[in-house]
Amino acid sequence: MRILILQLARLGDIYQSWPAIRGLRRNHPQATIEVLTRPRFVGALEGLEAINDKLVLPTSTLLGPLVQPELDIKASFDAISNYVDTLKANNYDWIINLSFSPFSSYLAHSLTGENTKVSGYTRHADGFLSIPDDMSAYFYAQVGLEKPNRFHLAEIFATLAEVDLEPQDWRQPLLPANNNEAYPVVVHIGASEAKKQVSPHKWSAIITQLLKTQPNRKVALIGAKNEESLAEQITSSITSNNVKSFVGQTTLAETFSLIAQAKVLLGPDSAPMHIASLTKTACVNLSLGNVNFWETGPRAAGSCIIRAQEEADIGSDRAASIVEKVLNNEKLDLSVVAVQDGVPCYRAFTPKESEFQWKFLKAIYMGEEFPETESDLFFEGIDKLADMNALMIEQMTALQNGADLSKVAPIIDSGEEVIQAIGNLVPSLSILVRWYQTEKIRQGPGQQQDILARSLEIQRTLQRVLEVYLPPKGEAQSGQPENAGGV
Amino acid sequence: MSESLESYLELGLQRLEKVYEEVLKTQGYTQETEKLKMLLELTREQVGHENPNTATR
Repeated sequence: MRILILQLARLGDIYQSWPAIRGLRRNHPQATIEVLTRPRFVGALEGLEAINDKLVLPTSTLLGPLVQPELDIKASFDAISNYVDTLKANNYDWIINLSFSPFSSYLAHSLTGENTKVSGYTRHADGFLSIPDDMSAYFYAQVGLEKPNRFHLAEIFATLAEVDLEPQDWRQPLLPANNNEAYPVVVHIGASEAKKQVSPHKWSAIITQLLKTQPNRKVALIGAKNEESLAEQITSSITSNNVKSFVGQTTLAETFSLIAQAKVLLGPDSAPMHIASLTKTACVNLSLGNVNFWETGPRAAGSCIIRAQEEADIGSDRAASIVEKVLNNEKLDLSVVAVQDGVPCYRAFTPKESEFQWKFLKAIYMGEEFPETESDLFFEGIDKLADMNALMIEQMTALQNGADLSKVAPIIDSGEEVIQAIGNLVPSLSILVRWYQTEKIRQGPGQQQDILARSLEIQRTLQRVLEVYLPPKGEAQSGQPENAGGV
Repeated sequence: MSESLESYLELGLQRLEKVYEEVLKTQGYTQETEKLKMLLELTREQVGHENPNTATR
């Protein structure tokens, strides 16, 4: 069996794919497993023993003709044509697309042969998005910022690869012997995105505080070459000789080594944190702005997340005291998000509405019981959705019985708009609306009668969920759901 | 990312979008059209991957 994994995101996502790829190797010991990445990030596959080959997307060759004064679209087109044809000749048995991006979906489809199985986003023959598996449908509908998902990306990748993760799937690569001095505290001062960045001033304050309690403590700073000036700002404001900057000086393997030898890594939501998950180094994650920690937080035992919209909301004393607790294996207070066993992999105190949304999501997707609520807005939304859904079912049934498509189609289109509007107005119902819309998208092209039959099936499934919260005819609403979950 | 690289990519993206629309209109969605669309999406994503202010997934 020849398997191609498309992982075209950045370093962090590649490291979060390691456990899934190791599980895939366990399930398919004889398979040839190849992973395609972008050239800038291929280093993140270094040491991953589970793969046979690293493939690099030749972006310079493909896009080079476009990045010159006389842009040459034909040359770029010929280059991508040749590249795709060459890769397709490998006749992959299984393509696992872990990228969730438009480009990767077109590439997956172009590489698909007659007998190729595809997991993850791909395309239909007419170019329309194809979402072949349930996990990809879940990702499309519920994963991302401001969404209720609480499954970690590592588990999502594993499900796509049809893998049940085991603890040993999180392990570091075999590293070359390292006689370097160990630094108990490693601080990653940079971030992959500017909005996740912690300022040098804040780092200085936290490190100074850490040195107050133990002046001999050794602290290493890590980061990319373009973050050297940040490191200088930090080190110049700290008098201790125990703080050493490795920023811009380490290879990824050396970074692995530094983190593996550390007792704690302190840093934002970025690649070193995911390295720490593999080396099983506890991490104190300063999670700023719009980051969904449920999806991309640290995984090593003892790790925790300090959440804040802005860094001003994170007191340096508090951050340093949390690092001390992690170093001393002390119990963490409830103000931080703590790593725990199981799914979801964090213990966090969240608003009641957020808890309801997670339970509602699990009821829809995992067959758990539908949760109770007293929200009038939710029940009002359920009523409106039920009315609209009944109208849609009526119109679709009429269409099946020979009604004029030109008269029915505008009514159905308006119904879809109203359903979308209800989802926008009632946050908890947006989970159900996104499930519904994704199922519609998953239909793909086909004969009108087939599409109609499947659409009716989706409307009736939606109706079954709505009925859980609708009062039996003639009775007032009770807030008590009537059925177990699952669609 | 250097500004010139970004402006080249953005210009390339605009041209590709135009060409893609024309080809789609005249030839329909074929394997060749798909490759053109792929090039277009790769160009679009490349801007994001080079720019540290954007997420990539």
